[in-house]
Amino acid sequence: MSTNPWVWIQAFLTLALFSIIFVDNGFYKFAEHAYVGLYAGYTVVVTWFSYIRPSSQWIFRDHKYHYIIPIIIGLLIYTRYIKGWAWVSRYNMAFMVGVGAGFVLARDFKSLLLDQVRATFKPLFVSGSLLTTINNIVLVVGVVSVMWYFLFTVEKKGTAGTISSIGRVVMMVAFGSAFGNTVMARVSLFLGRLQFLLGDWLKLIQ
Amino acid sequence: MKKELPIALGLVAGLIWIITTYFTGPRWVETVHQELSKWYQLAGAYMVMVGVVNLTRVHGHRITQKKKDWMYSIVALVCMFGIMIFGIFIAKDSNNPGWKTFYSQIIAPMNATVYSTLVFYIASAAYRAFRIRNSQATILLVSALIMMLGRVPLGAMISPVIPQLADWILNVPNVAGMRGIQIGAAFGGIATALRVLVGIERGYMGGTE
Amino acid sequence: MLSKIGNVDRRIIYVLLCAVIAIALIKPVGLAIKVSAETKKVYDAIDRLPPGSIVWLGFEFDAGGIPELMPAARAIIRHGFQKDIRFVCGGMWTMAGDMATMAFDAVKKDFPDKQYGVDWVNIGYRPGNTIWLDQMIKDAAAASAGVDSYGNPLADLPLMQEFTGIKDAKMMIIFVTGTPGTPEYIKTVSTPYGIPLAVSTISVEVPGTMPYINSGQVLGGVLGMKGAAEYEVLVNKPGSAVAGMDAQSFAHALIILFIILGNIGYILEKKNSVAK
Repeated sequence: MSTNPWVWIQAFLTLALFSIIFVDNGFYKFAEHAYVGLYAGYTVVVTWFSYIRPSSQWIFRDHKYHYIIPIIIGLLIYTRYIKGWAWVSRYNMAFMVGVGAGFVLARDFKSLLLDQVRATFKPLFVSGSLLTTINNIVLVVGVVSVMWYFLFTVEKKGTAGTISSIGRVVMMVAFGSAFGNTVMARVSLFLGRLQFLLGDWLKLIQ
Repeated sequence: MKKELPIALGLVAGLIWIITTYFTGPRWVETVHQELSKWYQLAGAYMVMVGVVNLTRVHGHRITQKKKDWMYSIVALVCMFGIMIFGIFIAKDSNNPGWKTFYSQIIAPMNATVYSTLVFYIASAAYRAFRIRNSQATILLVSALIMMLGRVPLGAMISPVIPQLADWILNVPNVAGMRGIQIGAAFGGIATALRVLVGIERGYMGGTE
Repeated sequence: MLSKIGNVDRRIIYVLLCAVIAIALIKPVGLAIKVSAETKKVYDAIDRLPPGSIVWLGFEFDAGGIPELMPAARAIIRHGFQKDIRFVCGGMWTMAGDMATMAFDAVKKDFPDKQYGVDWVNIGYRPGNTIWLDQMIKDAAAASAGVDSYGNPLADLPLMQEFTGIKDAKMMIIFVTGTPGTPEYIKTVSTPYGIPLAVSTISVEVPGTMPYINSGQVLGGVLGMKGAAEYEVLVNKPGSAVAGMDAQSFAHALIILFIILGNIGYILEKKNSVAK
């Protein structure tokens, strides 16, 4: 067993957080509330270290006072908590959301739309390779039918309904793949904690 | 005017961003783009206390009203303000040994543990809800089973075909399904951004009078 | 009686899951790990880089991603150091700086000649999401407020004389658990500036990443713990990912067993209700 007190604290907190899966209890509530508080505080401290403190030099050392304007825009968010002044926070939200929307319009079209559409333009017959031909057909038909499924302005009857059904089947395969991978991710997370408990704490594994 | 002026500010900021992204010739255009980035970052950084204010209000209320489990609210607030005081006034930078110990021995393991409890819920949900109720549910189940076996060494041990099948599912039908959804989402994102910029979409402003 | 198998107490499932993973960790059987094409593509891309090249590492995850992404990060840094590759890292996630510190702390013991500031720089977390990333392309100093993750002025670090922004990187490798992640790098950096992008993702992200690999927007992927284990094998330094793959296998087998039992119970229950 480890003799490091930090490892013991870590083990206690880990077991306290795990205990919720069996029954809601005081240890869990303690660890849960401590985590929420610590994480909120951690975020503030990291932002202070990494940006607020070093960027303050622009004003105090370099005398670039115009940077006070974005700081004020940022601080306006807190007017939400002042009765009668909450509407002022809209300036903050509008600025942040406006720049964000500008970014999406400037960047998303080519990279997330055109390039993905272009990658779907595959030859539907590849001589000498039956597998590639099948793969390309599945890919093209799959993408088109899934997009068709989400086209809600067309009544899905007859051929339109058949294409929509193909889209559903393709999505089911994709969701199955997503589920399988999600299980793997969750097991990995738990594995990591068990590696700590059995290795670093109990020294049962190297 | 309480809505129109903020919308105008958002529109101007968004348009400046778009214009300075595409027209990059003159030096001043580059400068405007970089300055807008700095403004965005600065505004974002100073919004970081929103979480602290919210937690203080919620837990402060629970403590003063002596609501159920109010003593745990004290734990949350003490931890939050304690770590802020420790980080900003005592540790002073992220290379401080005390700070390093804090994040590597406390916050990182707790963060990982909170997420790791999900394994139990997903195992339980798989057992209870993953039923072959109809043909589509069966397709979903078969795809999931192949993936779960094919992406671990056990699958290859049972049959070399299983990992090949898993790879095929991942590379062909999965790509088709995910791409169809992603293209749809990209359309949706662009349309929403356009609606936000011109002021049709105002939900983000909330109901603050 | 048989229909009861569809109604096993959830706590029994939990205990069995814990036991199976614990036993596999304590007594591993050493199932063979075969390197996949996706992992090999990333390995080969790093291998082809000329010595001295600068690679951007995006630590886009928090501690929840450690079991799957930290082994991959360590193996990739080890590979890079073996090839005399230099790294500049940072990220849009709050824990980016601390995750990078953890990864480099674990590897630097084996490379005593590698120095901070010369062979790697940790810029750490910065607020601003993709707007920060956009600024990082051309002006890392302005985007980072002039300091690294530890408060050192970037101007004092020799590596930063050659790295003015991500545009100076020969390649980007990002470690992602969600948003911001792969699409943000594709639209902000790799598509407009043509810088090759490789990703290491947690398993949840794998299906959503595949369309980008298929389209060539991402050159390859170290996908999940499986990919991390494969990379550990490639750099001849088996670590926690390789050690976890046996446990991963048996945990999956147990969950599959329960899915099958659940369905047998469901079918029997359905038959019983029809018979009644």
